[in-house]
Amino acid sequence: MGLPLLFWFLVWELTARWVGKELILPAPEAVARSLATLAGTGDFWRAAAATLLRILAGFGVGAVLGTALGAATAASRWCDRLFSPALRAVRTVPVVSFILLLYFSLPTARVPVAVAALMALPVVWRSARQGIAAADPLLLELAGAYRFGRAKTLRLVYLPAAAPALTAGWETALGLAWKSGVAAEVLCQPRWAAGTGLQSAKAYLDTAGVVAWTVVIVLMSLAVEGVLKWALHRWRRGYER
Amino acid sequence: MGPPPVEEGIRKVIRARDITVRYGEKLVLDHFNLSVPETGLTFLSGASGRGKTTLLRVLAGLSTPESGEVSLPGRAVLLFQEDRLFPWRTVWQQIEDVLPKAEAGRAAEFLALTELTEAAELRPAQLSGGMARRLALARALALSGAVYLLDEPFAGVDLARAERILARMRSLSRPMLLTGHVPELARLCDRVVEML
Repeated sequence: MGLPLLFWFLVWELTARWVGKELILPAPEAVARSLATLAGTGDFWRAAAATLLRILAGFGVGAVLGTALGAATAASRWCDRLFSPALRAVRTVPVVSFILLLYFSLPTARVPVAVAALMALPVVWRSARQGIAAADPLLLELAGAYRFGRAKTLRLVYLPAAAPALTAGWETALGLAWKSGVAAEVLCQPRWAAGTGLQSAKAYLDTAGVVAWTVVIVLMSLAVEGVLKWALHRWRRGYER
Repeated sequence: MGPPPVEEGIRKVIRARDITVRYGEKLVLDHFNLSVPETGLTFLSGASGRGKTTLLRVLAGLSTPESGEVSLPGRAVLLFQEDRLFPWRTVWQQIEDVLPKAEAGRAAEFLALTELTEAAELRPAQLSGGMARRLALARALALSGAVYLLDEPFAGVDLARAERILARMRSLSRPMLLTGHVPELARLCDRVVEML
């Protein structure tokens, strides 16, 4: 991991020197200085924490709802007819359309939450639905013949079958929630938000600040992703043969 | 496929009357009749393709015949021809999964019956074919039912072990209908129905 990082760091440094204009490409040192200045302020931490909570909340809502709808549309024809076309449509709508539409109906601090949820929802729905459809028909027949209840059939047949697809879906959805949630913050500019920090830096032509905020967002995203991956893979290990 | 010999004085428990099953053009069961007594073990014998599995599925209510009717005294528990084990559950857990919570400890009984006590912590991938079959059998026997329909319960199990297990199954005093190809096991049952 260290060597590739060093390589790209050098590429960045050399390219910044060659460009020679901090407005276009700030050098790593300038970004580090900007980061250090930001980290010294209470507002920075409050904004970072607020963004983290918004994205987690939005992802959480989208993931739970998506999983439930995936199960429902796989199990029920009328559910499938009612919800699937709408979910497919949500998947194709550009994120900026949602941001602008929700801007008029929600407080600015809630828009990123709703947008993150809307971006996560169809991805998780699709993976849940595919995963449930992958349930072994022989085991399903056995569950019916042996009179397993719904909870037992879910636990022993459906969840293990859906685990690989669900894991992939949740991980992809988290990445989308981050990107879309921060984009919503940039456009809506809630008071405490990393996206607002990005927008402010841009307004002051502070490219080093833009990169610094981007680094912070990426680090938060990687940390959350790491925790989710660990939790999901721990869950999946329970289904190892 | 005519009716089996009628035994006087024994109350019939499982009845199949005039069962016909067709898969496409192929006639699998042709007006088949069967009566299985309340007690003992009944061995359903016949070469592959004679309809033994199909008959058990009809009796268990999993397949609908083209014609005919089935009469059972209560719940029928079917041991499927395939093992259908849960790959990530241990041997012990597979039995526990079908027992009521209050009776989870009884898993030991069924493992002992099928000589799988030593394998309690293993998973299906670690079992031989015969062990997997015994596990599927133990799981079916752990379910509470009025009759047991066991499709090839001893496939892959050596004869001596199968004989011991069959003797223990007899002591459970539950009506059982078994299928298989091994004549020695048929001789250990109370009656044999030949599917021609």
